[in-house]
Parts: sequence; structure tokens; C-alpha cells
Amino acid sequence: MTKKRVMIVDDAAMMRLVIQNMLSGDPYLQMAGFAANGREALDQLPTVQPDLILLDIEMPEMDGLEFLRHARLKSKAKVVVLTSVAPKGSTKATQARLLGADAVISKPSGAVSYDLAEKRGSELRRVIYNLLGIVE
Amino acid sequence: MTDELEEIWSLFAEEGKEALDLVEETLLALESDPTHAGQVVKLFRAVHTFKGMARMMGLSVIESLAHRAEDLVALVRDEGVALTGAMIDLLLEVLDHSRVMLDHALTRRCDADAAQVAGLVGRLEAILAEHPGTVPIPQEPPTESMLASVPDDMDDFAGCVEDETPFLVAPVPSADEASAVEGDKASVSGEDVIDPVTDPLYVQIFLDMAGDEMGRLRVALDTLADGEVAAGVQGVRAIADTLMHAAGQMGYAHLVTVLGALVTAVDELEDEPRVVTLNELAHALSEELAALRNGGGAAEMSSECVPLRDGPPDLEGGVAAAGVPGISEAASLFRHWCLDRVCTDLARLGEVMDGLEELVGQFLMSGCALTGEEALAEEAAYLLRAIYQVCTFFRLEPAAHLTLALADLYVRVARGGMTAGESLLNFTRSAIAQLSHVVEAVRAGEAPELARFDAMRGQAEEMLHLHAESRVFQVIQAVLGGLDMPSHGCLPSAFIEVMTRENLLAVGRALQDGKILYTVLADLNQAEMVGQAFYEWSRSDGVSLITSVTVYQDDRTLFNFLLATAEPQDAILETFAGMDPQGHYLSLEACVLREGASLNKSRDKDETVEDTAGIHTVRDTVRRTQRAGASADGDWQRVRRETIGGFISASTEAPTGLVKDVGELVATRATLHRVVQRLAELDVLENVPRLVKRADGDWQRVREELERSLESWTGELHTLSQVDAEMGVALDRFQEQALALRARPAAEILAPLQRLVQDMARHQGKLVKLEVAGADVELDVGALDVLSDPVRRLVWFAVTHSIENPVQRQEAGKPAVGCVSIRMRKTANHVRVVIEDDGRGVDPQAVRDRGDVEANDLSAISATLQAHRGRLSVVGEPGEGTRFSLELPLDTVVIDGMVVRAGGVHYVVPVGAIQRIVKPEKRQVVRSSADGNRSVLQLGEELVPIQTLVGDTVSHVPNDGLLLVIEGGKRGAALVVDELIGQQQVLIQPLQGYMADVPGVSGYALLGEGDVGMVLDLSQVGDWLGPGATAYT
Repeated sequence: MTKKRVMIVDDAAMMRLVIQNMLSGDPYLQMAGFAANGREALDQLPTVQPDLILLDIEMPEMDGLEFLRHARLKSKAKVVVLTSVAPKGSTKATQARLLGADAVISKPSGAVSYDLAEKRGSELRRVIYNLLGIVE
Repeated sequence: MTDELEEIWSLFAEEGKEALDLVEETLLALESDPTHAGQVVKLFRAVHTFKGMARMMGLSVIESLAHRAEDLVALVRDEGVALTGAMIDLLLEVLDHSRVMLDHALTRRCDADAAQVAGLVGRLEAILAEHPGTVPIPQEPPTESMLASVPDDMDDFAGCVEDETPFLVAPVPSADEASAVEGDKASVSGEDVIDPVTDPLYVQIFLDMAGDEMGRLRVALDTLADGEVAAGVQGVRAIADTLMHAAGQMGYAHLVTVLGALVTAVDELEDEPRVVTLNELAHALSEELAALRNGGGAAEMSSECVPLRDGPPDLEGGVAAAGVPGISEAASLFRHWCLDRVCTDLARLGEVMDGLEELVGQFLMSGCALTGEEALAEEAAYLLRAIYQVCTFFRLEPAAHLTLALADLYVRVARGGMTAGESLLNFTRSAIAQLSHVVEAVRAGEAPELARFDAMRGQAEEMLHLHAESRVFQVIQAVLGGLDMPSHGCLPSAFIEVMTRENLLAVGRALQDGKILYTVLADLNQAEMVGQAFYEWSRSDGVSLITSVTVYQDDRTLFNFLLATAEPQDAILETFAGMDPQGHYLSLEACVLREGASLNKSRDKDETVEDTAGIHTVRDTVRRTQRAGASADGDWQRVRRETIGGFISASTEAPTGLVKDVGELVATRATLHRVVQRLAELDVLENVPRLVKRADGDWQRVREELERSLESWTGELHTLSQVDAEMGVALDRFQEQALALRARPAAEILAPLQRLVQDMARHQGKLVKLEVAGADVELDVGALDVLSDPVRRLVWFAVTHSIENPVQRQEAGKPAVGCVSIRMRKTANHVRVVIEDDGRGVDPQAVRDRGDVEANDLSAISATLQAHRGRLSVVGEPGEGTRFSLELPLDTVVIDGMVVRAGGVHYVVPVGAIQRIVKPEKRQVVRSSADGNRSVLQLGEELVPIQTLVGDTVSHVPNDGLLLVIEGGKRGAALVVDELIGQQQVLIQPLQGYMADVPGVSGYALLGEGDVGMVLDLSQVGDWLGPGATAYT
């Protein structure tokens, strides 16, 4: 098994960096691509060939839900929607699931404090490992 | 981390300001045109982005203000609420305040004071409150990550929230906690949900994509026509793969079929160019797509999905021909498997009969003792029980009863309680013949002829009655017979005769506590003082008096006490000397272990008694006596081993615990036996007519007697239920201890590796150290056996292929000594071994591509693990070393299972995996796009794929169907079941042959009264979800 390729799609560079940090040094995952919106991500799909896409919903150009539809048809990657909309009662989160997202999870909060980053990172990792069938 | 943190803060400074600038820009634009939808969308996104960043930085006060502002903008964007000047002013105020707080946060690296935003938050909420029901106002500040509220083992159900729909129709105690994810009452109303099948954007994306691919297909076909076969084939295959994935995701089964045909045709093309076929298929494909484009694809999108695999699996050709079967085929495969197994069992039973017959013949010729009869009879009983289960499974009750009665007979033969005479053998042979006919009939789908079985069962039961006898006391003797007294021989039989259940328990406890058993012969009537002193001593702490028997010696009446204490014999003698200086009245004898003694003596009496019943011939008696001696010796050896364990060291509790539990079981069995006897005496059926006759019209008396009779009956039933509970407890402990006996430390396989690594390092001119963690992990000896070879080979692999020689290592800037580390860890149901090294790393793919010996080695290891439902994963990065991870499920032999019925077959679902039980409303069952058009259960926002256990994988839920929401492995599923039977403990038995390959079935279990069920293995839920659900596999 080679390392699984992860693509991060988020319009905020800060978010991309935080998520990248969270998953850095993972023995099973490697960062394969970054995109600031759905359009960029779609263009990159054939070259990046991700195994997993971490996707934001609210983005300019092409939003997460539209990109999700493309990704489901044009890629075999698992898609985890990271949302900072509180998922309870959130129509977008439900839509994302109905459109085929493999998981919808909250963007980690307070993730930049070191301890929390560890904690949140490991929870995110757990979801990712589950989806990709990675056994620790 | 510090550098990264700095970078994040500086990005936050930059992007946070950008977001706020954008908020300002859009607010100003909206001031002049409040209805500009584009600006509203931009505004929302800017506020949302700022909120998300604040949240990420852990600045919850800043976040909370932005959150309320976002809600306000959402009102305008999503709910058609008009944006007023007042709102814009308020938002501008929020903006200014946010800028101040941002600056403060950036310089001080800390959050704002909640009091600072309270006023603004209040004003925002006041506006929100004017539009109730549009945006929920949370009670809690939205700072807590939702992830944090997800129970540990439920990550696949993240966000699984209960809505107001009533769902729990049956109590599932151990699943209660798991399902108790409390949510708020905000549910998604039906109108909000996209109808996934007809989501126009989805369909459009698919059609656009298909259009592009069709263009490419035409080019590829032209390439083929030009004779460039290799390039053309590759092109067509890639296009077909792409389209097939997308069509599968959309649930266009028919399209998938056409594309499958295209792939087949192109595969054949390399042998024989048939471009014509391809062109025809391409044409068919365009037509399919055109139909979809014109909305004619509605048929595709309706519930009438084409099953992906037709008909029952090809059993003749084995499963390989049909591919790996899905869970929904498990039931039909299981039926076939049962029939096959019963055929094998019947054939073997015939052979066993031959063996027994030969033994009987030998005896008649020579009169010699027989060996091997018990083993054969044991096997016959085992086979018959297996056949009994299958008969019950197919609801062939008369045949089932016959086999059970026969099994009972052979159990007695195996225990030496009776002999396998010619009549029994002949009778069994005719049963085999009858059963074979039945199996053939069932296989052919005909109704089998069962009438003869009832008569045969009567015959079998008659034989059984003739031999019925209690064996309880023999077993008690086996336990207590392990004790011996140097001068006396065995423990006086008087003790064995008076031994009660409680006494036996006390003996067991004493042995477990490491106490020694003594007998004290005491003359307590002659010297009152001695009697008093002895009585007090026997009641003191550290001495447990177990029982006593009265002994008449000449004209004296003595008492023989059996007691247990940890004190050594010398100490007791000293104590006694204090009470009885002359040693006239008290005499002590220690019970020690008897060396290899036979129990024949005590057996002979029983055998003779049995003979007086006049059932057996002399020949039987001779053989039985020989056998009884032999088997008693076996028992004795066993008991002795366990007892010795208890004496040597009280810390090895398992063996003495076993003795104790055997004692308890024996005693419980004795109770059971007595109850059964009393019940037989109470025979109501006979009793009632007799009473009636005797009463001669005195109905009052009949009534009283009947009541008395029924009271006793009820009393016995009560005792029976106690026996049931006691046996359950004892069996639980028994099972635990049996498993504990099989546990071994991992050091057994890890320790020898040190030597291996040093030897290899020397041979290969390397310096390697091996670090081992988890050598003290205890595993079942079976699991260690499975892991031993793979672990050794992988360590070899790491040393040989990854670790460099010292020179190379120094060149690479690494210490000269390479390191291989092994970590073994055990979780509740898995054992995991990670083998890592710091060498150059091996790219497993490269090794695999080389296809050499090492590659075969890796795949062989992988196959070994897979055969035991485990797996191997390898990560190798050049320069970074290699990491092997082995995982093996530990067989939980007994599980708590929920027995359910689906399609007439019983299944056992591990209770711990059941999240909840749902009786779905129609609107809760929806079809999900991009998921093979599979049905999903909607629980709040959570979507759980629905899986039927029978039939089509593209599932539908019958009107009165129940759904069991389960969690396992990669994700969860909702299983469609017809009925919940109930919860019980089951023992998982392995399935062999083709059933072993069915994903999702870990074995079968006997459910009591002969029923069998398949035990579902939920770690493979992901694999069940079938070919139509690529998104989930």
C-alpha cells in the first residue's frame, strides 16, 4: 500500500494550512494537491488523482456542493465535507450527504492550539482512516 | 509547531482582514441597492469565512458575533427577508467591532471578552427572533466542535441526530447508550431535501461528461479502424471505465450493462479484431444516452433497477464462477451448504458404523477388549447432532427428533454407559438411508416423506429408556477420587455419599484458595473439653468445615470431619496436642493427591447394580468394566492435573477455578436430575385420570389433590429456572477459563526473533537492533500460530530489503545500527502488529511489479492473514523505511447476539453493533444519487445505506419491515429484517468451504431447540453493500 493521496479544497489559505498541519507526518497519507475553489479542484482532478478530498462548502467560483457532484462522477476519491456551518439542522450538510459525500464533519474549532490540534487531528484522521480502510 | 503556528496567525491576519474588507465592500454596495442578490451571496460568504477562521483559531467570542451576523445574512439570502437599512447599519457596527477585536486578537493572541459582544449579539438575535422558525437559535454558544460530541465508536454516524420520528420499537439494552445521541428537535423538512434521483444539476453534469467521453470514444474507434489496435483498445477501455464509474454512481444500471459489454468486446478485440461489434455497442450507448437526455431515462431512475447479477449463484461451478457472493446471497448459499454438509456427515456416519461393526465383530471372535469404540461413538454423536441441526433448519421435525435420539444413544456408548450392539448399528444404518432420501428430496425441491421417522424415533427412545441412568455420582467420584489419604487409601466413600451441592462448592473454593483438605476422626463424646476445643477450632477463621460423617467403631460413635485449611499438617497436630495431649480423641489425616490410582473399585459396584436390571449380556459387562476403568483413568488424570495446579500455586487460578466450576456444574446437573425425576413421578397425564377414578365423585378432593399436584409442578419449574440460571453462570465462567487456558504471551513468537535478527545481520554484514513492545500481550494460541510465520517473514523482509549496510547508512546520515521495531497491541476484538524499520524503505508496489520471490512472499502473507479475516498493509516511502501493519480479528467465541428473521432464515447480529431499531416512515426511505441509486434511510441528517439480507441489493423496504441500524468496520448500514426474535448468547461456529468466502458472515450459531442462524460479521459491512454501491466499497 502506498500512501493515500489527499486533496484539500478550501478558499482560505489559513484553513488549508491548518488542515495540512493536522495531517502532516501521517504514515498513511500524503498531501497531493490544494485548490482554492471547486473550479480549480475540478481542473486538478485528473492530475492530482486523489484518494480523498477534504472539501469546504462555501467557496467562490464553484461551491463545494457543485464540485461534489463532479467529483462523485469523475473521481473515485472519497469525499469528506468539512463545514463550519453547524451541521445540526443544516440543509447544506444534508444536501452534501444526499449528493454522495462520504462524511460530513465540522471544521475543527480551536484547532491551532497545540493540544487541540492533536485531538481534532486524530478525530479527523479516524474518519479518514475509516473511509479509506486504513488499519493503524 | 511554533513556526507553523506563526504562519497560521499571519495567514489569519491577512485573510481575516480580507474577509472583513469584503464584508465592508458588499455592505456599502448593498446600502445603495439592498436587493442585489449577488452582493448578498458575497456578503454571506465573507461573514461565513471570517466566522470559520475565528472558530479555527479558537476565538469563540469573535466567532459567536460573526455567527449571529451570518444567521442574519442567511435570513436575507435564503428566506427572502428584505434587507433593511437598519440591518445594514447593525452589520456595519458588527464589522467595526470585529475589526477592533481582530486587531486585539492579533497583537495579544487571545480572544475578546464576551461582555464586549453581548450587546451586538442581543440586537442581532432580536432581529432573528422576529423571523422565528427560519434560523434556529442555539442555546449553547456554537464553539463546541460537533466532533467532540460524537461517541468514540460512532464516527461513521457523525451527526446522527434523532429527529422527532418515533423509531425505537424494541428495547436493545446494550445498544441503548450507543443510540442515545441526543439531538435538538430541528429536523430537515421534506421540502428541503433534494430529490437525488432527479437532481437536475447532477444529471446535467453526467450528460455533459458522457458527451465528452462519447467524443473521445469516436476518436478511439477511429484509431482502432486505422489499425492502431493497442492505442485504440487502451483508449476505449479508459473511456468505458470512466463512464461505467459515473453511470454506476448515478444508478444507471442498464447503461452499466451496455458499458460492461463494451469492455468485454474490447478485451476480446486483442485476439480478433471485431470493430463492427464495438461500433454497434457504441451506437447502442449513444442511444441510451440520448434517451437519458430526453428524459427517457426515467425508467433507469425508477425503482425498477436491473439486478446486477441474475439468478442463484452457480453452485456447480463453485463460487469462483459467480464472483464473490454478496450478503444477500448468503441465505441461499447457506441452504446449499447445509445440504452439502449433511451429505458429508451422513457418508462419514456410514464409515463410523463400519468401524463400530468391525469392533463388534472382533469382540465376538476373540472376546478381547476393544479400543477405539468411545472415539467412534463420540464422533457418531457429533455427526448426528450436526445432522439434527440441519434437519431443524429445514423444518424436518420428525427427522430431527430421530437424529437427536440417536445422538443421545451414542453419547451413552461413548461414555461407557451402554454398548453399540448390532441392533443399534443396523438401526442407525436404516436411519442414514432414510435421511439420505430426505436430503435428496429437499435438494430437488420436493416435499420429503417423513412419516416413517416418527415410528423410528419411538424405537430409538425405547432403547434410550433402557439405558437411562444417572452419571452424576461417577463424576463426583472423579473429582473427589483425586484425593487420597496415605494410610486409608481413598477418601471414605461415606463422604462421597453424603456430599451435597454446597459441600462440593466448598471443596472447590478451598482448592481455589490453596487450602489443604484434611479429615479428622474425632471422638467427641468421651471428653467434653476436647470436644468443645475442637468445635471452637473448627469454627475459627482459616478453617472451613465441609461436612462430617458418623462412624461407628466398636461401641463408640465417632465423627469423621472433612475440613479445609491453609495450615500445614504439623501446625494442626500441634494445635491438637494442645487440646488432646494424649492423642486419644483426635486423629488427623491429610488428603493428598493420589498417584495414578484407578477408580475401578468404586466403579464395579455401579456396574453390577446396573446389571441386575437384566438388560445387558455378560459380554457387555466385561467390555463396559474395561472401558469404565479406562475412561475413569482419563477423568482422573485430568482432575489430578487441575488439582495439582491448585495445590502448587494459588496464583494459577484458572485450573482450580475449573475444578470449582466442574464441581458446580456437576452439582447443578444433580439438581437437574432430581427435578427431572420428580417431574416424571408427578406425571400429570397419568395422575389426573387416576385421581378422578379414585375420587369416585368427590370433586372437592380431586380439586385439592390436583392443586397440590400442580403446586409441586410449579415448584419444580421454579427450581428448573434456577438450575438454568446457575448453569448459565457456571458455563460463562467455564468458557472464560477455557479461553484463559489457551492464552499465551506474545513473547513466545517475539522472543526468538532477536536471535533470528542477529543471525541475519551477521550473514548480511549489517548492524541491526530489534526493539520489541507488547511481548506481554496475551493471545489465544491459535492467533499466535497464525501470526508467527508472517511476523517472522516480515522481519526478515525488513532486515534484508530495507536496512542498509553500515557504510550506506552512514552515507545517508543515519546511525550505523539499523533498527527494526515490532509493536504488538490488542484491542477488544483485534490484535495488531506493526513492524517498522529505519532503512531505505521498500516500495511494496515496486516489489510487486518485479513479481519475484519477495513479491510472492508478501502476497502469500497477505493471503494467510486474509484466510483468517485479517489483513496486511504496507507503507514504504523511499528513504523513510518500511512499515508493515498486520491485523487479525480475535475470535470472540461467544457473543451477545440479536436473533432476527429475514426471508425465513435466522441471522444473529452482534448486539453491541446495533445502533437503533427503526420502523421507518415512508419519507425516511429515500434514494441517494451518486450511490448506485441505492435506498438510504434518512435519520435526521444522517443517511444510512439500506441493505437487504435476501434478494436484490438495490433494496426496498417492505411496508411493515424493520430496520436494524448497525455500525461496523468502515461504515454502517440499515438491515431490513422481518422480525426480531430476541437477544441471546451464541457460540460462533466456523463455516467451511464456499460459505467461508461470503463476506459478512462470520459463522453459524446454534440458537437452541435445533435452530441455526448465520452470524453476521459487521467488520465487513462495507463489502456487503454490493456492486451497485461503489461509493461505499
